Amino acid sequence: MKKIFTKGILLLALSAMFYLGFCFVINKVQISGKRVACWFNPFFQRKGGQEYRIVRDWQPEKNYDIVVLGSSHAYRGYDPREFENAGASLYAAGSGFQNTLATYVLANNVFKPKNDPLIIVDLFDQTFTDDGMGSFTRLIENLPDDHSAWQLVSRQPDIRSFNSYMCRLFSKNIAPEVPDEPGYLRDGYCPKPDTMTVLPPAMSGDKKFNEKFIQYLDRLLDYFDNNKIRYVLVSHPQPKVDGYDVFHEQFRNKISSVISQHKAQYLDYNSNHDLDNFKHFADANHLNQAGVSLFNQRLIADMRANGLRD
Amino acid sequence: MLFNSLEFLIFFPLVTAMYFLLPHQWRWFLLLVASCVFYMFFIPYYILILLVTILIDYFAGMWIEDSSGKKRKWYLWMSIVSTCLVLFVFKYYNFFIGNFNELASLIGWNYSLDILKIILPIGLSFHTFQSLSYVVEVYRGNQKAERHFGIYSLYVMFYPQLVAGPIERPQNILHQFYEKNEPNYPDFSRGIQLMIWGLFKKVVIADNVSTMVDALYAHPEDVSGIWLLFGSYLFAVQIYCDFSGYSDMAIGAARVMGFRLMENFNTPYVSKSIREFWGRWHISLSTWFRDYLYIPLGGNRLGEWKTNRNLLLVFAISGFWHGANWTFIVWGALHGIYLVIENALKKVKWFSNYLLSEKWWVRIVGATVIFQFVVFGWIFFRAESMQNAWQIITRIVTLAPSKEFIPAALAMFGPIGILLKAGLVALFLAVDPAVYKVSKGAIGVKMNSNLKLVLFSVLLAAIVLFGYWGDVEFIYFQF
Repeated sequence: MKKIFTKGILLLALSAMFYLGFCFVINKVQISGKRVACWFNPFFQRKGGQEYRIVRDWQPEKNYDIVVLGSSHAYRGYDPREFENAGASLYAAGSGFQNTLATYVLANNVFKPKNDPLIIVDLFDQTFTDDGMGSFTRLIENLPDDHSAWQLVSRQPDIRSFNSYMCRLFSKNIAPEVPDEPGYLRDGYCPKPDTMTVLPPAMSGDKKFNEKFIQYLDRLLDYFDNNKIRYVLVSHPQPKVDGYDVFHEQFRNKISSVISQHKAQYLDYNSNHDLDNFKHFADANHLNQAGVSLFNQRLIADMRANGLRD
Repeated sequence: MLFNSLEFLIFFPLVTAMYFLLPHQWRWFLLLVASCVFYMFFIPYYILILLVTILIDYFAGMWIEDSSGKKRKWYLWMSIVSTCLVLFVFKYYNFFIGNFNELASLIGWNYSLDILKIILPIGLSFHTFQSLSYVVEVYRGNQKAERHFGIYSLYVMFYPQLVAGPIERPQNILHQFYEKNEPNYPDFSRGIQLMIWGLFKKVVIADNVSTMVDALYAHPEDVSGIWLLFGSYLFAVQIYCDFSGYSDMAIGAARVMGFRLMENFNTPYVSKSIREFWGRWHISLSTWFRDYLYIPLGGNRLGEWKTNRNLLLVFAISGFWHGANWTFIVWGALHGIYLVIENALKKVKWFSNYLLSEKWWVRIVGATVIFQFVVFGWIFFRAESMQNAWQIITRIVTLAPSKEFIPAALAMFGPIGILLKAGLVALFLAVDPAVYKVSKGAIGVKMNSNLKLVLFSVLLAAIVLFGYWGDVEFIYFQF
């Protein structure tokens, strides 16, 4: 029994040592300008891109009137210039496929303005259906401090996010390896210049929602309520494609109890819009600049009508 | 519950510790409860299906033992038919209905039957076969009927081999549930080594490779013949690592508690004949078919024609056991044809000399050639349909070109990523036979225990860091 115990401990200690050694090598050795880690595993992310940009361009001392949190909808669908024309400064703090757990961590640790801005939480239904690892690992690599990154690991324990955190520690002082998203403008906003030419495939079958992300929507709203932070939930327009509205309705049903419990204002433009699939959308999920302008003008008007803006 | 899950990381040490802490008379009960928990992680109420199978064969075993003459045979057939009926309803009903409907529309008969909207219970084919082997062995008099319902249930449900084998024989495992196992270092060490090696094969090799195989096979029309061939080779490695990895973990998990399960894989890709391949691949299934179908059909005792007939029949059925799709039947039949040809070739002197040769280079050349035949079969096994398989084979044989040098499906990996993964696969294939011998503690293989500790520490570190850890189930769970 004693031998089992001693050898077991030795096995674990040696494994930990080799693990750290491997981490060092795969983050220090580069092939064709890319860390070996990033060549090997899709969950070892490169530093840079939108996740890097939004946390570096964020100025906490600047008194933003509106901060948008959420997925790529949040950084591609809210143009600070449109809001400036309406007399409000806006920061688009979205990142790729960001889910509510990540939004909760970002709202608590990173995007904490000193003034009292209105927070727009963009709810993209599809981010509630995956395990969130793609978003977590990109953020873990790019968040400015280890504490915030660890928050993501500890709230969603998974070997992939842990490995990603370890790689972060071994690649701390390196320069960004990936440039900004093409077309990045400022204040987090990055419009998509394309125009959709082919209709995306219809959405079929029942999607399974990740219960944890529903719970984190609840926690996020709790956090806003407890800290008297003003917020509004918004669902960004989607192209009119077979099955999208059915899926979105399932999503609405899923979150309805959370919304009613918090008496949250929810402006849902998912299929409630007159935008044209080909003129106003860049792809299956994003508006182009023409679409963003129309959507933003309508949103500003609705926010005024709902007493969210003067 | 999956072996490569966080839940199992808690479940396994907990169950093992409780097993050794409990008095011997309660251990069977703990293992049975643990096995139920393990199974119920998938679809909880499906345990009732398992209960039906257990009840049928538990009573059938006792009735067979207590009766004689025709009645005995009648009980055996009643048990076989009703056990297989459960399998038929869940696994094969839709296949037959689908084919019936297609045939009906082909002959212009405007009639179709509804298919059942049910999910196949996990590991159904495995525990059905394990149950069947019990009743047959009781009938043959090789095994006494198990009167203890809990122990019999454990025979069918023992969690390490419940969902993907090895398919055990009652003579090997039933008596072990009565024996008192004490914790001991050799069993613990061998068990853990096997579990580490199995997990390495699954999450580092199979799951990493599966991302590329899935990408290449998803749209074969856009992928060149060479890349599809590459994808087929990768699939051969994937399925081996996936399934033998599961078996190693199962055997290892049982071994830690002192149980010895039968061997299921023995480095099959070093085989220099198809016959040898089937002696090394999924051994528990191939011996099941040999003992309970091939030999009862006459085996090779009834002349050449009947031997060949038996081989074709048994292998086609074995293919069908894997899945209710024509692709599996063709895969099985193809191996039957290989064996028929091999038997015919045995009469040729050079071939029989080749089979007897123990020269290392003959082994390498032979294994390389046999591997090509096996990979050809895997194309059917992996394809979604016969049309899909045919499309892949046509593109490979005609060396069909594609627009890009690296197919769009693999663009996300980049050339270096592909090379790294291919290099890892090559390295694995080179060291697999040696590590297999070390982890099995094969006779004649001696390795310094400290060196062994270092080797398995490296593997464990690699599992954590390089494992794919996505949502990838074991391929054989679907059977």
